[in-house]
Amino acid sequence: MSTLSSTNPGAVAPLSRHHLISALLVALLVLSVGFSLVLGPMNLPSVDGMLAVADNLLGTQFSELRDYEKAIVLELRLPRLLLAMMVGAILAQCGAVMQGLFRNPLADPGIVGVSSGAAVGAVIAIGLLPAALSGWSIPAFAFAGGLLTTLLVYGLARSPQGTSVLMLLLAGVAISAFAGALIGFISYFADDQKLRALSLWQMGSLAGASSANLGLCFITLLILVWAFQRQAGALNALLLGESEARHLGINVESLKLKLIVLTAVGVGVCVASSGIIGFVGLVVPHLIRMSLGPNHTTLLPLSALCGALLLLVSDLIARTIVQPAELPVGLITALLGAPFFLALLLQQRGKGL
Amino acid sequence: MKPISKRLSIQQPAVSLIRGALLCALCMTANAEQLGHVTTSKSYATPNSKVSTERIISTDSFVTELVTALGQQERLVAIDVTSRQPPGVDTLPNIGYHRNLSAEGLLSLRPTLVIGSEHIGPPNVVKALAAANIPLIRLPSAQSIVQLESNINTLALELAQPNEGSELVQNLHAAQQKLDALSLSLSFKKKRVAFLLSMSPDKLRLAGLGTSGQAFIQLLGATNVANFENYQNVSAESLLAMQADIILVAGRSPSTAVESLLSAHPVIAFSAAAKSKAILSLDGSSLVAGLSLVAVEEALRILQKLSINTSP
Repeated sequence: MSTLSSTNPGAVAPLSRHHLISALLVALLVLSVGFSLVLGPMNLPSVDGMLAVADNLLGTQFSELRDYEKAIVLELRLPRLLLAMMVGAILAQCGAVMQGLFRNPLADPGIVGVSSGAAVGAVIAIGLLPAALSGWSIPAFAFAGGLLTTLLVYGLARSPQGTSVLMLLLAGVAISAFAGALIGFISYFADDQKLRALSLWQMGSLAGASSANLGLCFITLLILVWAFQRQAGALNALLLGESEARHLGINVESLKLKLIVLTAVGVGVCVASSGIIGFVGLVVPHLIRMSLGPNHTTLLPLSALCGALLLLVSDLIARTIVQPAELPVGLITALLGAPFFLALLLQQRGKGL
Repeated sequence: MKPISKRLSIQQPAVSLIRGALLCALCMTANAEQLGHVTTSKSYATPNSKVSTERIISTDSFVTELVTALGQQERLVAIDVTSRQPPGVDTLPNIGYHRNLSAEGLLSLRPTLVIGSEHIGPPNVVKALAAANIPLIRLPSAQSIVQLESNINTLALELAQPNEGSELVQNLHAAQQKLDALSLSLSFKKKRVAFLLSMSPDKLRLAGLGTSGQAFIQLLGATNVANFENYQNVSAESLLAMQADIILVAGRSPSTAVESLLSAHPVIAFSAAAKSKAILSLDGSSLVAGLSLVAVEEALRILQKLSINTSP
């Protein structure tokens, strides 16, 4: 297939390449979903594992699994793989949007202070509130912290002349540093068990998948995909520069506010349901951009697909590699993403980037 | 035979990443068993009270210690990352940190009983165990001999080991009487103790109220110099100012703990404790999850050592 497309005449190539990569990503995603359902520390017959899902959807009785084995597939593996895909997709899209908005390849979804603000919220909930409340207090505080910090950063960067991207970046850096100090301060006075909870939260985990956060992530993902896609043309225009975009008739100020708030909500929901998972938002958009170019109409949906794939595969590895224990998924995303990213960079350098 | 070796080749690199070749060997047998289970039996095994405690997972270090002390080590199929005592158990499969367990990881070991502390989590693990009808016993980690004794009694009952249980309790009572007598003869009630957790030699991490260190000081019948909550880093100067009669150093390597403390903070050599040769080390792993049987022995050892040091 790939040799076929590379020998295609130039005019058709970009389109078919886009379709080819989309098809490849979808195929890999479907494959990974299958593997995630079937593989795990518990050695269950693969066919029965798949049938259990079908049974649950269609009300049939094909699967020969015992009740608790069905529960493993339906209540442990299935929610986790759904959460992984949705969180991965949201993070990757938010990363693509932030890189487009800031016209900065190093921008990630955390750049406007969402992640660090959410971390402060979670650390306050873990460190200062009673552990009995942690089930809802950690996600709620993380979400509120992320949103408040973003609004603070945005407020700092606003002036009568409009919002300066440079000010946004610098205010984000400063607020993140301040948040880091706050986290350090609270961790210093936390006891050993809280300390461990803090560090685990900051490495991210998808083990907390529940119907509540799955529903929340699903709605957020739908809204983000729709809203971001509507702004794809504006983001393309913004690549030319802010004043050029303005001359093309785009209301740059309202675009910035809209995208920043959407990103803050998206990342806030992700962080609240799975802790801090780094690297997906930074690397995935680059991977797509390097293979398909910077057109946001294709970049945004493919980033979502690729982000879902990366996080799904990472979580599959995280929960099987040290079984019966499991690793924080944030470690795996960086471990997988970084070398792949470097390899692509080197390849691009060879092409005279 | 073929499918077994096939499975092994997949799992081996992952496991050796963590626990080395020894664990691998164990996992091989575990996997072989597991494979047998899946291929041979789909039917339910007939419930039998005798085998109901056959496969135990311990998720806390004090549980591992007590299960072993009751002579039931061969029933353990997995332990948590904090269980390093007694020697030998660390070759068992490791289920990770007890607050962050993997539900499926636990179930994959086909336990018939899971014993842990109040810290076991996250909540979906408890739910998954309940869904699979696997009994879970949660014991509070002991901050006193009374609690330690009640934990022993509970476990002895659950594991049907009444004789071993009452023997352990008797030993514990004997140890407590010795502790009390020594503590009285050394007039420990007036003594002020600083309990240092030495994870790295250059930091002085002092045990405050509500810590295992505090529980250990109470075991000695003495008073803690610290009046804050939890563990906190203090400077050598403030440690001197606290004028502790006795300084205890709990670390990973008890044999060198005192030396490395004094070389990292030479000023401690001028403390009252140093002058009366009352800087002593103990095995920190005995206090990972509250008081353990080893911690009681350590307390006895320390009091005996001090009574030798102080006698002319």
